Amino acid sequence: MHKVRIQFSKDGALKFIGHLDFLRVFQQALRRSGLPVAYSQGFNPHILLSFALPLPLGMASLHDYADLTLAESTDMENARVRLQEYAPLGLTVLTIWEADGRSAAAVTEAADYILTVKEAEITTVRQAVHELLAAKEYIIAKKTKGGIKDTDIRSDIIDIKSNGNVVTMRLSAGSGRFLNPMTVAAILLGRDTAACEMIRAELFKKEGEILKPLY
Amino acid sequence: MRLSDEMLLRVEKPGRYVGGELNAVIKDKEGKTRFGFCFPDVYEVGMSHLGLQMLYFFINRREDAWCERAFMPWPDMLSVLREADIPLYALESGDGIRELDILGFTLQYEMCYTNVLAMLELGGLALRAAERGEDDPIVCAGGPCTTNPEPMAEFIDFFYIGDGEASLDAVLDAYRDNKTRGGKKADFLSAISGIDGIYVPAFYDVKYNDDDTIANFVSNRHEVGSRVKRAFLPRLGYFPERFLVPLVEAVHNRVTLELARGCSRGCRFCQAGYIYRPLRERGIDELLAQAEALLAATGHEEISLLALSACDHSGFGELVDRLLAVTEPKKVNLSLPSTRLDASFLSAVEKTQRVRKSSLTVAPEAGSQRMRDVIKKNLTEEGILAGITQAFEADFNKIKLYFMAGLPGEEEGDVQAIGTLAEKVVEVYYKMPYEKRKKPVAVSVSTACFVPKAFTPFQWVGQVSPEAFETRQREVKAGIRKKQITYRYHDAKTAYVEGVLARGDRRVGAAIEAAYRAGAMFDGWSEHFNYYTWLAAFESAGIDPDFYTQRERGENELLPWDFIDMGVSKEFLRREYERAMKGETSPDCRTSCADCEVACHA
Ligand code: SF4
Repeated sequence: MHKVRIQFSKDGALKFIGHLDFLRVFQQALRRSGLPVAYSQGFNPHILLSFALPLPLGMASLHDYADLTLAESTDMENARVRLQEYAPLGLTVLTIWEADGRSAAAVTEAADYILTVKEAEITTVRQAVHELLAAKEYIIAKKTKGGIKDTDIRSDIIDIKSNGNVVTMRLSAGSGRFLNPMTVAAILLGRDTAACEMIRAELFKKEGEILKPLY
Repeated sequence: MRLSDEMLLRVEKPGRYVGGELNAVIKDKEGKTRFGFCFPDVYEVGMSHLGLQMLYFFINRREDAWCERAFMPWPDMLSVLREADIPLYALESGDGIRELDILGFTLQYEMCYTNVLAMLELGGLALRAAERGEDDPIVCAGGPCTTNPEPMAEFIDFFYIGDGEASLDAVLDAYRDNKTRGGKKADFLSAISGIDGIYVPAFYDVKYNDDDTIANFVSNRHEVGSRVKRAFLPRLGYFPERFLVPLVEAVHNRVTLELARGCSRGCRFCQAGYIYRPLRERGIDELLAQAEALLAATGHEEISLLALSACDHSGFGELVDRLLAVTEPKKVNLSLPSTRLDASFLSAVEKTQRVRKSSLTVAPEAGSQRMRDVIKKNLTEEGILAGITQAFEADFNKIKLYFMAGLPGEEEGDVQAIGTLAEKVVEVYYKMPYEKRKKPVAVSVSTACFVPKAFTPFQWVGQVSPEAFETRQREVKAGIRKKQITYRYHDAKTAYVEGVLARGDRRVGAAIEAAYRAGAMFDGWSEHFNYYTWLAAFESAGIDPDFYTQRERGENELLPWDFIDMGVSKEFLRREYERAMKGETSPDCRTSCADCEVACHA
């Protein structure tokens, strides 16, 4: 068994399908590609494929990660070219490498999001970023299983940079802590985020105290 | 695509509306005949339909044509489109469907008729053919419901009746030639009216008797004959090398192989068993090659075998063996059609480890032997119970039993027999030795409401009223005492409306329009079906629904679909009806010919 990690980006029509649908679509591409994928044991074998972190519906990603188990070793660059050849429109396979150890899902702790704001909003957003970063705490009413609860989200905001109409937000994202980027966008924009343009740019793991991209 | 991300994210499943599926065909629209395949139901249903996959690639194999798709938007998207004033668009180009040349609706079930009207209106087209102009696309319709096209006649420019592959090329050639010549719509319609399978309703007039039956049905043009012959393909040929692979989960995400068209059994209630005659099989080598090509082109993990009675394929055992040799190493699931519990099916099940051994479907269709003889369902109680015993022994523990209520000549005893049969199935389970009964047995019984259809031996009979259906449902329920049995039944009121649409004449079109205007849509979805909307629509259109449903037609009555030559003769259907009423069966075509006059061995 050979564990590999796939770095890819996702855009176009694929933005509009849910996590499970994307998993199926990715598995179909793997089956078409003829790569020597490994299957789970048991009655209903499936391809051993998992993603680092589901993307919200409607969001594209620049660097996304999946773990895949192969039944035999194979040349990584060949595998990448092959998978790309059979990939659906909107999926770009960037790199594949052998990656033993903890799964992408287990190590992911943070994510970068890029929010594009309208010209007219630049000043307000810059001000809001400033205030948010200066605050020691930021309490919002968060929906949890036990009802609505006041939660401090400040510690999950790792950094925010605004540069012209581009706002880059680094937020907690992973199976442990997760801050919804739309929540932050709503705070910055001071409005409903339905029509806001956001992509997920990168995922990070922790090495010591330092955040490093997953590749 | 003219929908913004924001609009798409306002609906529940945006993936239905974005296209971009694997194997979707994108062409340069210049110089092409643009065909819009319109499926009047939601995306997930339409994308699971083999006919869509077949015709999509069949049309797109032509260099001079481009086939795109449109589906009925779910109500959430419907409001988004209406609010933003965006017309229904084709998924491939994003162009409004009104910009295409021909729109082809597939009529798979009567309860989608209001969706057809909704799609026309969403596309910016007038509902009635007579009100559309030269700038509008030609609107056509195909599919099994075109065996009685009359209720939809006012809305459709031409119907295509019969095998899609048989005449579609001729129609597309004619369209191209007409366009090159600068001909008008009417020229095109006259040019195709002589092609097998083409019915242009505007070229025919109907006159009625005082008692509302049809007096005559004649062509109002010299060049058109009074009868329309179905399009017929003597040998199955074309099959796509690719399938569209949806991004959102469809009802079925799998490769479907068409084992055969037609059926030799001739169950008397089954319209498909008559209109697709004779039985035409595909060869095993051909099917195998298709399976391999389609798995490679789609990446699906399941193959299903489609035919009216798939296990009847003359090489079924060999086919399953050879398919398993392809599918097992690829970890692909072979889904076996299970409505016929005979030896060939059970032995196939034995051979596949990858069949989910839990639930099995059996369709005795009627509870009593007498009724099974009337409908010519060639199954005996011993046969059913023996098959189920074998299934239990092979580790199945859930059995689904399908029946119909309201069959012609049905009496109280016949209805009670449904529950009795289900109880016997449970008893058969407990007759097995204790160590074999590892899992609890569960039998689910469901009864559909029998709706008589055109071109079947029951096309003359009166349909049971909704009240009588409900009485029968109560009788079945009362007859089921064992707790291992659950009972479900289809809605009698839906069956009543379906009955009107199935055997209606041209006048019924006004009621369909009225129902649509009053908000009817997605009538095949129980949560959307509104009986009272329909009753009001019948009334406002001046239509007596009982005339179309409950009335027994006379032997010599001119039926609304009599002008179609579907292959089988009316005399044969009448003979079968008379035999049915005497409780007599007739042979399977594989044993001997019952002379249906489709001339399959001429
Ligand atoms: S002609 Fe005879 S054998 Fe052929 S379909 Fe008709 S009844 Fe069956």
